[in-house]
Amino acid sequence: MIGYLLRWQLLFLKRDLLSIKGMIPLLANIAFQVILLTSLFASPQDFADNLTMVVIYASAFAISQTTTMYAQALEVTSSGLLGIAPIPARPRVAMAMFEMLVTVTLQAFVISLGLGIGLMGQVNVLGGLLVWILSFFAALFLYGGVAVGFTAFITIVLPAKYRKSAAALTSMLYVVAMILYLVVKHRFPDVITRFADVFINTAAHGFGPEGQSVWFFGSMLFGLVLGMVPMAWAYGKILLQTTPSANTDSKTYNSRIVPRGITQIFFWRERIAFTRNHTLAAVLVIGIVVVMLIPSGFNTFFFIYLGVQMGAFILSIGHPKSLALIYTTPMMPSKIWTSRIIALLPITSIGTVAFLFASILHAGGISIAMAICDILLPFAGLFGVSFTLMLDPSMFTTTSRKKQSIAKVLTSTILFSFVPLGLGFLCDSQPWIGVVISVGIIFGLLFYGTRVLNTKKSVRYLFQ
Amino acid sequence: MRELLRARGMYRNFDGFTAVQGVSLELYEGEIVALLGPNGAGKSTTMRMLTGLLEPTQGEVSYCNYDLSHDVLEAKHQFGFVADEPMMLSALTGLEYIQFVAGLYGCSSEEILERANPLIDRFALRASIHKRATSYSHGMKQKLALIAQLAHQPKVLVADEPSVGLDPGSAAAMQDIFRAYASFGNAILLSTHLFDMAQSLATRIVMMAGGHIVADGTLTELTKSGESLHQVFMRLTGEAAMTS
Repeated sequence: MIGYLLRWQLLFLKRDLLSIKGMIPLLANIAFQVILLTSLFASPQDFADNLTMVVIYASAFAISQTTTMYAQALEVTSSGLLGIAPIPARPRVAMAMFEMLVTVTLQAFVISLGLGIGLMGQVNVLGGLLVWILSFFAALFLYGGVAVGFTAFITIVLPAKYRKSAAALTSMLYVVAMILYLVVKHRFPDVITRFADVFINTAAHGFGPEGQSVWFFGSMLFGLVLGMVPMAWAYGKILLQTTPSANTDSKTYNSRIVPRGITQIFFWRERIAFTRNHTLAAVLVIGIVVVMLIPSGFNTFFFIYLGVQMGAFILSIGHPKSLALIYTTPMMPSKIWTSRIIALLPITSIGTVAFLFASILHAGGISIAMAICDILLPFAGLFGVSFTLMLDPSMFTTTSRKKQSIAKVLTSTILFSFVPLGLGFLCDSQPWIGVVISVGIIFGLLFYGTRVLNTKKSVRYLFQ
Repeated sequence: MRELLRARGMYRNFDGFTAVQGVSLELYEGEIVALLGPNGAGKSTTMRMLTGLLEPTQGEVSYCNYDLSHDVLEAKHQFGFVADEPMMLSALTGLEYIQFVAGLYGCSSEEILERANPLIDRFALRASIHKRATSYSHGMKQKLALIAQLAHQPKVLVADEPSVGLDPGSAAAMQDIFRAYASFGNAILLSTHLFDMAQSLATRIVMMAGGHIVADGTLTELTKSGESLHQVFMRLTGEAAMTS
């Protein structure tokens, strides 16, 4: 049964990852890791300090992503079609483990590769290679172990109805890791140096006998124990776990009166969604904390990341199929786009102001050019990403045509990762050029983008 | 009688497969037309083309003389669409959902409430109208979607299997509402697999098979040979399957 399910699981994963919908979160993760890892190359004089910070931040991020994936996979295998099928519990766990393994392998690969390349350049080529290999396996076991162990722990400790929050709880891990890092750096700076030395010394000795390698194997073992012990403890409970698939929200709300005018209606709906769904507010708060705590050199990326995230909400009003409801109403696509952008502007503006405030507080002042560029970045991201999503309706459907998918994956990689990263770097190094490009993106799309949206048939007929 | 919907020579190809072949259809004031056909007959594709969600490979659609591909906004003002799967929006309560949808057609809040309130009561949704629509059962969502589309008073209502998931009482209520709505000079096109509903509700029945219209007429016209509607359906759709 396990072999049978995993074969299907592999097919689902392959199709999911080859679709834009599956690719976007993955690319966003990789982009975030790349942003962190680039700091290793950004300032060679602080290499050791940066290395510890990057390893801790990237690991916290990878662990929260892996845990989320594992918790969701466990939920999927115990609900819906799989939940009612006569599948023994052990294959269900195997399916979730397999899905988690794909995520953790990717995360461990990106982080260890970045570390390896950093050490190849700073210390020793062969040593960098060795650290890459060792840290890959260490990260694989450690991240996977924490994900499995934490989810098992949650299963035992939390009542069933709160288990869905397990994924959200791990996001807090990121904030905790950052605070912990800053406290340790301030109070015990030698701990930070010793942590970095494990990597640097291992790389410095190349392929010679390594005492430091024990650390990596120790990490693997630690990860294994972290995963196995709570898992063994909670195994019976996990096997019996079933997840209710229906939304059982029976709360009564004060239904609000709709205003007149399409833009006002979208704005009204966004306000309701924001006040009733606290996820976005939580994400904003975490973002502000991140900007406050993370070294100043990264702040610019958080501004563009905010814009990219807000732009991705352009058609998020319900299930993708529900978009048919909007597309049958008497509105041109440009009107849908601009109205939705206006609805998203307040949250984008609040985020921008909060990020700017946090950024200035943290850095102790920034140049006017940098401030203007930082302010414009989220809006450039909002306009650029939302326009791209409006332009390519197939973002909301999966396609089985492999060739088409790969082309789209490449396009979206460029649009959602490289362009924002490039713009972020530009704002950091040449802020006025960044300002000109951001203004160009915003006004260019407002003037020409609206015409394109109205004339392109694939936009008008979203459900072709 | 005034023509409210006109579809002429609609074709739709999907990667070499022709799902709809030369379908022409008119709907007049006061008509309730039932679209019958086996699975894969092309009913949903036809409905998607009629509602502007899918571009016909060939052919044209117009509502009240407004061409759907040229006078897009005017044409879209004339019809409402209830899909086979209710299209819900996150975060909104049932009442807010109705207001949101009808508001997009330019209706004021007062107009919407005035039109929706009797339908909310008729469909027994009053107790849950201030709860999140996403927490409703399938049947409740379907009734809500129907109210939202009727609240902006379209001239033509296109409904893809609207009775799926409805309890018998709600299904009967829906039929009464449809009859009353058509009697005000509007028209309804609904696809269904329920022969009872087609016979009791529809003023005209259109049968599709293999992407073609194989029959179009009143119940009396279709059954004049003495066959039951079911027998006519089986004969015509069977013949179409044989020829295709």
